[in-house]
Amino acid sequence: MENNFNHIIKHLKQNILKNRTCYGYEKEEQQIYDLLERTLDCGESNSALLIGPRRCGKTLVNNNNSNLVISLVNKVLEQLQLKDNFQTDCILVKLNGLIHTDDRLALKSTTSQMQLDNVVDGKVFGTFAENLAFLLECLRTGDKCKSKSVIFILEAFDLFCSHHNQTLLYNLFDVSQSAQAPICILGITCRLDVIELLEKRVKSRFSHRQIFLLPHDSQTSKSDALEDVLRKIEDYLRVPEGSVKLKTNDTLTKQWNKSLTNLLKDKKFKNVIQRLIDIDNSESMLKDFLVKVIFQLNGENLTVDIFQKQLNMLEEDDMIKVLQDLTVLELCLIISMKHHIEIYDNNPMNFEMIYNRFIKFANANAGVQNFQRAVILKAFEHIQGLELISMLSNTTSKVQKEYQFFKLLVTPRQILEAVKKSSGLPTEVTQWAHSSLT
Amino acid sequence: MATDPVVLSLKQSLPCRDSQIDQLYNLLPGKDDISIPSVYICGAASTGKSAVVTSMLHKLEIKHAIVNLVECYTSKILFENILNKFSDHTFDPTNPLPYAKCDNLMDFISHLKGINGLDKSVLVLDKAEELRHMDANLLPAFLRITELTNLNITVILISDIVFEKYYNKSTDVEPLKVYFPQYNKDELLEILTLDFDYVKSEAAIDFDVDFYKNYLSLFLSVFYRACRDLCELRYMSRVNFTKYLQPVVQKQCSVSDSMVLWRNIAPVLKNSLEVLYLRVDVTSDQMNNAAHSLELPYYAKYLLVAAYLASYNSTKDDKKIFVRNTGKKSKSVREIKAKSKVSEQLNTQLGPKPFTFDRLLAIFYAILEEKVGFNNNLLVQVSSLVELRLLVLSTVGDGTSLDGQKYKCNVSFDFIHSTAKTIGFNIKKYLSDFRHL
Amino acid sequence: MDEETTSVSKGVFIFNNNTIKRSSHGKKRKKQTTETTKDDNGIFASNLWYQQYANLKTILEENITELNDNMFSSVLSQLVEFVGNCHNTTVEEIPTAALLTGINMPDHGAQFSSLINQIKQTETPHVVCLQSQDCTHIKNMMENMISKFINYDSPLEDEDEDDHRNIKKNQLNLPVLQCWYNNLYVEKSSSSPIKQQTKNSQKVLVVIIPDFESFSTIVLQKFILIISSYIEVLPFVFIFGVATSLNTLHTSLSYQIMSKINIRVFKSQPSIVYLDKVLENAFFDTNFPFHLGGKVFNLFVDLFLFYDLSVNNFITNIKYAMAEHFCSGNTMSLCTLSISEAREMIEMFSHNDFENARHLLSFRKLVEDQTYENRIKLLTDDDYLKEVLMQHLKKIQKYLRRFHLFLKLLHVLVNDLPKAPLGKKIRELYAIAVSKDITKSDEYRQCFQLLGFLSKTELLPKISTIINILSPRVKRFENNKIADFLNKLKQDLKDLNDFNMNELQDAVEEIECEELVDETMDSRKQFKEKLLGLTKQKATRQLNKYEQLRKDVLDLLTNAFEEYLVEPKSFYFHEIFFFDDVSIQNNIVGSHRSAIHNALNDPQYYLQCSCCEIYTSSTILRTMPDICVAYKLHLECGKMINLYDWLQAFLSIIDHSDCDDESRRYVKPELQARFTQAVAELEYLGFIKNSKRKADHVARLTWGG
Repeated sequence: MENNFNHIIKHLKQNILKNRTCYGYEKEEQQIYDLLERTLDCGESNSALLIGPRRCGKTLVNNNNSNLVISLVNKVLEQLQLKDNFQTDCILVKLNGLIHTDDRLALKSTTSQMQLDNVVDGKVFGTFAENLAFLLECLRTGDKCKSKSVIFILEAFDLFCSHHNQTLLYNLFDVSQSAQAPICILGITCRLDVIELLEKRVKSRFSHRQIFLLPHDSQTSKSDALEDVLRKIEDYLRVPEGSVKLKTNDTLTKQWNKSLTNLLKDKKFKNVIQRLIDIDNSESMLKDFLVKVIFQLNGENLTVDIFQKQLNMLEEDDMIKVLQDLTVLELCLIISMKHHIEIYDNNPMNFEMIYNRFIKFANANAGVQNFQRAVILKAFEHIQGLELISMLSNTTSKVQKEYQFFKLLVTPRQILEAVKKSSGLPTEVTQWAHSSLT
Repeated sequence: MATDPVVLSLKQSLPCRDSQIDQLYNLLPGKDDISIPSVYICGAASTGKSAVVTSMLHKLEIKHAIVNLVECYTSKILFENILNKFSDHTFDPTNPLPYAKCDNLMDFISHLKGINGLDKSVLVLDKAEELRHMDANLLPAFLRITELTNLNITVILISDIVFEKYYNKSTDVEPLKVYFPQYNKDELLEILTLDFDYVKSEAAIDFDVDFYKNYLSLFLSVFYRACRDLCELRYMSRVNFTKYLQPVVQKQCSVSDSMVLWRNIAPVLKNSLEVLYLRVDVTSDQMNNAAHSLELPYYAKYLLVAAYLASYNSTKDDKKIFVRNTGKKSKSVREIKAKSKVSEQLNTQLGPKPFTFDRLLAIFYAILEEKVGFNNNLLVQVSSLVELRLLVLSTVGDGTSLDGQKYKCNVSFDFIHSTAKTIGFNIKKYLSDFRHL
Repeated sequence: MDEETTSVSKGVFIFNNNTIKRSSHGKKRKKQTTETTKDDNGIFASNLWYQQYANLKTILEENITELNDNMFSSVLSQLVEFVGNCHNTTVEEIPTAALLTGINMPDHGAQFSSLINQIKQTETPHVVCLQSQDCTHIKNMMENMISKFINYDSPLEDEDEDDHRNIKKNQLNLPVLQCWYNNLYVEKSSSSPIKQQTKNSQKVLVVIIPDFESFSTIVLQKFILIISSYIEVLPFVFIFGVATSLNTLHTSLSYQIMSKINIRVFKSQPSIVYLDKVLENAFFDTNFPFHLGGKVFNLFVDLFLFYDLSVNNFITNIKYAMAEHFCSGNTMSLCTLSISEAREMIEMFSHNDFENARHLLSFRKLVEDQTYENRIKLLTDDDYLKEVLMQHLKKIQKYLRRFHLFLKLLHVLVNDLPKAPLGKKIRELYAIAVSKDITKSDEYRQCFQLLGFLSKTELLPKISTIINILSPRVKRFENNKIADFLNKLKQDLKDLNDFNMNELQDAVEEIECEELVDETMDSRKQFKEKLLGLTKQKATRQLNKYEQLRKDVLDLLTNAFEEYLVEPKSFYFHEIFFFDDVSIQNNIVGSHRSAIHNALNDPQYYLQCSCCEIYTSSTILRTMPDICVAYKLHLECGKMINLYDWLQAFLSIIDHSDCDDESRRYVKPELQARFTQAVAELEYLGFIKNSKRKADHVARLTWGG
């Protein structure tokens, strides 16, 4: 029983985590496919940018263990690989801006992906261009006209722009312009302004072909959006009945799905989801949410409360939690900072000022414990350590701590919120938090 | 209903962390081969973050590598540490080489792929906030390490600060978060009580748990408002408990009469509250009279005072302050009025201003009664003051000039006040902040 | 700090101004080199005075080194013990010892090195001392520490050394250290290392940071954090040398760092105490012949108190004074306390040496006091002089022994009097006693008035301590003068002891009660008066007996003091033992800036050449060295100096040959070369630097005018 249930959970997890299917981008998909195919068959050189919001399933996922994983580019590539001439006269080079942080590394991995290490090693090249040219040269077969075509897929394309005068991009685009060798460059990024990052000489060589993956339900009305999301939720969470792959008995599966359908009908549940959509209406958000829900399931079926709980966790502010974890003393300091920035409209403050303000307060009401200066300084440092305040100029390491200037990184609202929530505060402190006059 | 014995034993050994343990247990790749790419554990210092994670990983026998980012002052060390731990690499003492030399992410990933049996393993990065100060690509790379390596690795980041602080343009993956809240008073009491065995082993006499509990509740009643840090509290409680026991040890009273004990300990606790976080025993009175504990030559003291005056008085006031019996009282009074209006922005609150060497000397000679020749030993005093960090060279003046060099006074008011007292010099009379008082 | 001062004062040696000094002085500098190299066959080895000087100096140094050792031994032993014990129990925080060394406790370096040695001998071979200059960044700090730990090896296993050597610095990180450590201890002790078992066999790793202030706090904080993450596996111990005060520690280490360490404070004595110890044990020693006169002594003490609390400098000063003293002639070789030695010396005297003796000031006084024929003999007959010398030496030696002894006694009496008129410290007493007749001074008189009021309980301990000091000496002085002084004292003490306050008390009581029983009193007022009167007479009456005894003792003492604590000047040939030439101040307290100014502004001052003698400081002569000319010219300029004008002014002085304008435009190359060189030298000396702000101008770096 127990492990059966676990099987369901496992299935769902897999379904949510690994499933990168993205709907309704057939047009763009076709576009890319054509592009690559032309490079493959006719040996055209091309360059394109695929731009879409984060985690909308555009990126390249090495589909190793689960065959569910299908991202847009993957789909395309799979289709390509079906073509018989793919293996023979095309090489795929995948680069990632995160991994290949400079051109040297990029070239190194390019070489290895072209299986040209043995050819290259020992050779020394003057410039990057020569090196690249040589690589492409190696791909040519006997007669000049024919050559293997190379498909470069640059993930996190925007990071490549930060390389030292964009040598890699320049050369790739240059090659793609001047028909030295048939290559296709497909950049993948989530930055809409990525074109602006390119230097002039690079930009000029780029065929300004950009493919946008825009969220398409942007124009649909609220209710539709809700429906849409509910549908998504359903096919994320529904367990296919009687499938051999997951080893569960049908009764349990049925029971699960039943609870799911009930849930989807539930009014309160709809409110929860509506709220979720109002916060953020993106695929990734939804997934994260569902993942959290699933991972917190301990054998019980889906209920509204679980969703509600997750929603609350989603909505609550970490800062306030941190503030609540402070000691009374530290909270007092924070409050006096609040007063400071309110009085001197957001002027920076230093320890001395905060200290004096606090001491005034502490002396005014006997209920508040008073502390030694050194101790208060340490408390101040603790606050700094939690990055509730930040130093203005960290160049002045020579000045004593007491005089370094800081700005407050939490809003008065958050502070009041925290004061309200945290229990066991002396009443004086609570009052002080609300009005600076003690 | 997670009836895993491991979880139960964990809850036994790590009290007051039940919900966190449950959450974590669900996230770890123990039960099935699907694992979360990244988990972010956040909570104040000494709330058992690392303890929970490590002990859970051990108990569940999950292959894991725990790296404390503080010690990775270069990303090279970080990478090599991780590789060493994942590959169970052992150094050859005579010639200790790492599992593999690698100083960039690309090599790291390729090496990682090289190690086998990493499926469903966990990588724990403690003090994760350090990642922000390292190479920009590290944080996003670790957050999506499964994608990059297509290995089933869960990355657990442990940190004191909230995840908001990590946001920058390249962090697009939001890890699942587990928050470790600070212990409240009762929880602290419960946990500190676990210290019983240690304390008993240390103590000279015999007593039972309730006795210790009583002490702790007394202790917390004093300290809780100032400090919730478990380590600090444990340290403090241990230090004070011996003093708490003293009357019993000296046979002045029995374990039972708590009133006597309380009357005896109350002042002690109050004192040790003064040195909270300072890690010194109260008996050493270095704290409160630093100036007395520090012995300076006579002229050095005067120089220091002069430096302080130079730092905290504006140059235009010098004449008024140091020239004796200046005629124009009325003007100065008006100025003083003007000063007293802005009470908040006192010079002594804004910090020291740089001053030139000859201004220092001028003030020095102005406040010093007897005439003293200007010789090397005097010059050396200045440099030695700088060496002791009582003066600091401010970056304003260019180093080349012999006399263009600018200094700042680097001591607090209390310090200089008591120093001035030792040479019978009333400094308040010479500080423009206090003259109007 | 110490280094600085000494180095400066060395720099000052070069520019001393009185020519007599210089003659003797050249020697001295050379001698110092011989001192440092500790070989006595220097060029002066032949001279009598040098031998005497050398062995006195060695005595002094030995005393001081010995003193140092047992000065620091206490705090050191505590530290070592701390290091040994701190890891016996399991620790969460890094055990840290904060050693508060005074701002310039003499030679911190020596102190720490001896600490390191002690730890290495007793506790653990793994001691690393980190210097701030190789720890500018956390990376090289760690690597430094680790390499020092790993390469500590004992010399016998060399190949191992080599192995460690060829580890590249950048591979050194804590895991490596850990494996090295485990390889040393854990594996050996047991295959499965259980902490508690192997704890004791494991040696701790000690990291010493001698100068905490000069470390960058950021680096240190990171360092502590890193180490603390390894504290379970590697038993580290920190020792911070803090010069100023514990506050520095607290202000520079922040909250989360402090919670990682566990500080224990060790305080070494304040250097003023140290000074007193040195003086009493090494210098006011009854068998150390060389003495400082009052002026010089006060000078040194003032230097110590006002400028640098550095005992090292004090000692160097004394050595300098010794050198100064002895090299003034062979007579000084008689500066010894053993009569036989003096005899040997004087046998070796040549005629010149006696002449040298005749130059002493007090010799003249001696001559004047003599009868005519004796005068002649003194001035002509060396042998006669020899004898005279010898007997006077005897006198002085005797005097000196007692001088110190009774100085101590006096100190015992007066040190704790209300606002101690003669001072609390024995050095203060010494300063007075050597400069004038202390018993004639009115401070002395005050003291004895105050002593006159002492109660029995106060007086007794003083007397007994005095007796304790005296009694061991008595055997040494055979002559019974002091002996019977001692006996008298003992007697008085006994009387005082026997004398019993209570019987007085009883007497008083009975009077009182009889007064009270008598009923004949009419008003309370009268009664009061009566009582008052009673108490008065009671007081007088009661005191009389006791006061008598007290008076006797004090008289006894003061007579003794008046006999023995006379001023040294009253003796002939006292110069041999007392050095009181305060003019050495110029060599000890130098002012190098004015010296340089002098040298450049008035070269004749040092060169002693007739050619460039000037009467007003502003005049410039062509005969002066080029740099002087350039310097004097640049004194006339403001902050910025136009090089061309400077050159023209320079030329106008250097060659008068042509004064007509067109030739001004043409500048002789050799003259220009000389000018350029002069400017370069000035720049090298740091008076000017070339500035970007203005074309062909240089900036002046010293005060204008």
